[in-house]
Amino acid sequence: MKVVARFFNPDRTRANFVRERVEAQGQWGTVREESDSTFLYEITVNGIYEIKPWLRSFGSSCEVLEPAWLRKELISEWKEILGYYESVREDL
Amino acid sequence: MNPFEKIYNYQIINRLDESNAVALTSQERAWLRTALAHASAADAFTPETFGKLNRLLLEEDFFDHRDMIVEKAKSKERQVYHPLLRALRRLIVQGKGMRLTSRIKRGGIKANQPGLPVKLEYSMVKREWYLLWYSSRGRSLMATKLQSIVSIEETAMSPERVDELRRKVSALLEDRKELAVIEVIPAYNAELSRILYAFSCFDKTVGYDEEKDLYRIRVTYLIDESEFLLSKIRFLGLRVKIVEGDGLRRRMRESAEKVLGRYGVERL
Repeated sequence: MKVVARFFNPDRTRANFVRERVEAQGQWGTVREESDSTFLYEITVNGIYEIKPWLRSFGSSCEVLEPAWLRKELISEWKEILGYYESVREDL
Repeated sequence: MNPFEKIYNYQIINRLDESNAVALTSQERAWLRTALAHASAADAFTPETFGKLNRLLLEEDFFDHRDMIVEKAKSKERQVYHPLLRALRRLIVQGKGMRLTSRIKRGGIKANQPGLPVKLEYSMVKREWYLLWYSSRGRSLMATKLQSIVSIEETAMSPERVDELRRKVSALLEDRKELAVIEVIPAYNAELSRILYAFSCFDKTVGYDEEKDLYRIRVTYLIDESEFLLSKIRFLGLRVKIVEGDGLRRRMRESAEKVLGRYGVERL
């Protein structure tokens, strides 16, 4: 199965720790430039058991593009996670 | 094992202890031999120790797992051992002061900074070795990449002064400590060991509330490690929820909102 994700470079810092981490931990996946602020990462995997948590750990620096169902799964997970912390809003 | 065997074993171990000998199994010796074959091993020991260990283990089987085991989910290894580790470790153990010359981030060199080396730390984020040291000029705790160190010179420091600075350092580190309480969502209790593994780099205690069937993990971390802790919490996704630690909770909410923004999801 092919997984494609877009990664966002950090805006303020000198060191691109997103890119560094993807390159260090991204296994046999490949990286290609997309724009000044983003790059694409592509990998073929047998299952998503390992890659999904890894992609999720990047938070808003990562957007899964393919497959569509994985993208949907992550959206619904993040909605639920937001639900875990919704009450924080009132404390501000 | 019957009690007599136990007593006998106990006596043998005592004897070995008294004569300063350590008993190793053949498996441990084979592992040690394998470790000595690692490219970084020659830097990790003095030439005498390295040679001696190699001679002692010459007769051992070489357990070459590299043909049998493929490490698939591996991160790129940047730095396993740094040649300065040994020298610095000695300074720390012997309670010596130092004068440190290092490269600074924006280029240039900071020469002869006096201080006390305190601790060697391997950053799991950067995959690099750091030296924590107290700068007597700046009166602050510093972290310098071993990679950025140009030279170190040993200096004499009185034991009283060493104690004083070490106390200061512990107080500074104590100040930077934060506590977070993380709950395991009960539906994922079966994955507890995987969840705890994600926090393996942190000091933590785990409590279990039998009535609610609820695991609570109390994690102590330094402020500068909070981004790393957050990445672990995002890694675990729905499995865990931060219940104490306002800053972290706020950051998680921001992350979730920002991610949903990336996916073009409107606020509910």
